[in-house]
Amino acid sequence: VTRLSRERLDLASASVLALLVLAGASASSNEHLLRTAGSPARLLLLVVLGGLALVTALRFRSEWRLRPWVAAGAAAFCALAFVSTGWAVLPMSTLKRDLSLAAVLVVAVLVAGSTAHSPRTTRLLLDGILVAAAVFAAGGLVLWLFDASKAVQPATTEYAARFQGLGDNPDTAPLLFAIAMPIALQRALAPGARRARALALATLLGLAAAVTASGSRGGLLAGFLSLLVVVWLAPMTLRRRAAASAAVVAALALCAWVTTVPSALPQHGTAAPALAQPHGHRGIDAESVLPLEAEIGSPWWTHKAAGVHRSLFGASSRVRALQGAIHQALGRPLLGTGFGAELFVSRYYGFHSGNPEDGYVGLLMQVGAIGLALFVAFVAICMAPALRRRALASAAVGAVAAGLLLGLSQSFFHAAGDIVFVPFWLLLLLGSQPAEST
Amino acid sequence: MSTWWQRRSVLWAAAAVVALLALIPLGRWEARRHAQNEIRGIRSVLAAIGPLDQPSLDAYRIGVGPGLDCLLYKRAANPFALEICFDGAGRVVEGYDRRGGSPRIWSLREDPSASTVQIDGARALALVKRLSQPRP
Repeated sequence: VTRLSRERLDLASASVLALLVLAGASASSNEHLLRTAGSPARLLLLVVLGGLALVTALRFRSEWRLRPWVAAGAAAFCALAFVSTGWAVLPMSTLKRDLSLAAVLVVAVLVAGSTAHSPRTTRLLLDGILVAAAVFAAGGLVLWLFDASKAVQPATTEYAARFQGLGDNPDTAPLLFAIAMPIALQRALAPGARRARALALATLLGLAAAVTASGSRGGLLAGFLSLLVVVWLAPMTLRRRAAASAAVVAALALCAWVTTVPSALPQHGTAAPALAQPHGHRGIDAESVLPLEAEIGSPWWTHKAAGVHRSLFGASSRVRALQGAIHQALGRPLLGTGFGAELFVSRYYGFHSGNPEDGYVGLLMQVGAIGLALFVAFVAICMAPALRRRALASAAVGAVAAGLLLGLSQSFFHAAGDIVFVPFWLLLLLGSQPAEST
Repeated sequence: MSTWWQRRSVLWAAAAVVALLALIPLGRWEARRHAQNEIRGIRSVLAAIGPLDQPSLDAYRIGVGPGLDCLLYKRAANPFALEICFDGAGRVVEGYDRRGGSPRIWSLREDPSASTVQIDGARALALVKRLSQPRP
């Protein structure tokens, strides 16, 4: 009876996790109905998952384990986030972010603790995330079939047309897909029924295709490089590992090339704005000539033709924004402006975001070098055993690697509303579990 | 053994709590230091501008960022050489010096209330309004 209860609880937890990830993705959707339903459902499902995890932990408390250093790392990072309300620029906003982080970390700790001696639980939970990603990708495909104009962002002079599926923009859904790709690969490589492995491989190909069609460079890089982590950790011969790694790199190169095939709309050599354009007013409206939100790198300064040319390796506007964000962060280098208060002021030509699009710089801005060091230490504590023991759950570690790589191009470690906020923290805790959980 | 271990754990936890709480004054000091640096820069821009109403005042902005209005002053051939942005209460929140090859910016946009640099808000707003009037 006890065994059956455990199986049911695990299955229920995995199902709720799948729904939770799907609700989080829906909350970031471009479809109004999904967005409206996703936000409240996400909170409710987090509570349900927490309840199930608590019941599992209490009922099978002898099997519940979490390494003390992992618990200490989670507690320390969370505590720093809370303490940062003491110097935060926006204390209430910081407190809300703190509560979100704490809630997700508590649930993640409860869930992960139950997987210590139960590889089946880990597998089911990972499957839950994979299924959610696959359903969201399939939903995007269905939307494209019925209304392509909603599923594709039209081409502009900066960007070629990009597939966004159900995501809010083309860079949204690839975050989730990139995190799910290593899980799919691990399921395809793991021993088991041929049909299940084929299904996992098909899912992997579908996710990779969706990421490629989105043109998300960060998603593409994170998704494929995390596959290398799975290949590296998977139990296989050196020759097979080398062949699999080569196949992954070749697939990455192919997909990267595919993203360059569609073209942006032609630019009609707009001249740099004149120093002082004549206007019908007594003074010059400076915003029409040199807007503050696009001053750095503006043609007004560079005297080059206006317009931004995007390419596979071009990242000049991102680099400018990143340099500016680091400069801004160094204004309060030790402790930042408070957790969640990513008060980035965009002043960069060709950069269209309200945040620095880098999770690490984002954390540096929010909780300073001390907070960033604590985050890195926590991640290292969680992942260190994985690097020492190859038998550890490679799917979770691969997915965490994808999340950490995504952090280089997206700022989401603190953002409860982000599509991968819950999966990332949960996977980090799952990946921290000892080798028995594979 | 167990008691010793428990006592050690409690001591570590207490030390961690004390260390965390000690960060609050440090964070506040850092915020003050940052604000003082920015205020110094904003004051230097104001000093370089001189009186707000002068012939070199030739450009304006309305409602940028968190609802700031700005006045821009010409120096040599640069019509946007010096700029201050202020809120409705007359607090100067940003200062720009574009007299070099790239802009130098001092900003408290993330926390306008930290600015102690005050100008005559009504007078500054009147100047913005005058500049945004149609040419006669």
